[in-house]
Amino acid sequence: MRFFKIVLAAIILVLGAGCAATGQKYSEMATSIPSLAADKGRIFFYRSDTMFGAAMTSDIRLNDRVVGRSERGSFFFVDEVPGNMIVSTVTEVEKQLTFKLAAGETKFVKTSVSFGVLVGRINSELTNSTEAKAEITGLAYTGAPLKK
Amino acid sequence: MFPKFLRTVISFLVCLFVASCASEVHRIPTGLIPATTGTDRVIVLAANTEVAPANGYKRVLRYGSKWKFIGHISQGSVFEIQNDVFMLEAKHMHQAHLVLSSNNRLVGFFLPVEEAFVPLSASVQLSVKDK
Repeated sequence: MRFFKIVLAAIILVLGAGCAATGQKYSEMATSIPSLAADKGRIFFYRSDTMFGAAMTSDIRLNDRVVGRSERGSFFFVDEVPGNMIVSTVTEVEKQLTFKLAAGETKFVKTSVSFGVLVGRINSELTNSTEAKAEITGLAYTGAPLKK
Repeated sequence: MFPKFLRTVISFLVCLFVASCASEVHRIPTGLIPATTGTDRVIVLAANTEVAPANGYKRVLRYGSKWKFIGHISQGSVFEIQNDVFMLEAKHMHQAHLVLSSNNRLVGFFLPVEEAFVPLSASVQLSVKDK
């Protein structure tokens, strides 16, 4: 019984602990985000500020290149050459999201934690711009410093 | 060797791990022939429709969603969702388009990145209206 309690406590700790990302809020910096070049597409990555799985993080890879991290309450964006995109996150298993990005297009990728076998999983999914913009407003920017 | 409780926990975790490993969505390689005419055709779904791709999770095609004709594959005409997103989910998530045969029967999905057709277990008659 004691063993069971320890395992349960560890799971709760892993799923529930963790601090929200710090940084400038989208609502405070939206006007300083540079406009998109005509020959590029833009991908916003974000994760809601929810307690479930808060301590779980993962690198976010885009076409096998690390572009940022999935952290509670954060967002960042990357500008990419149009084409096929493969987003992947790894915890106990690797989860992928595939989509096409066109020139001049902006896409939104939401990462979230779901139950796994031992530590949970970080999933990625496309979200529509209306839903994404509403969620990003209160999130903290964790991307590279913006050029002034 | 192990206490009975520990064996039970390990067995449960192994079962859970095996059960939770979704398989890849079943797909057939195919190429899209982009439309040269009729690209202004947009259909609107007139009812929510639940569909189940082979090996994937069920999805609901939403009432009122708009789909634009973008080309052909050998299995039918391909329509891409407008102002929204649509994905198939199995082991991974994939952006997906609808594939309709004649008379607006949904026969499956086209994955643009994988360039592959994902068949439905059984085709579904969609209730649509042209915009």
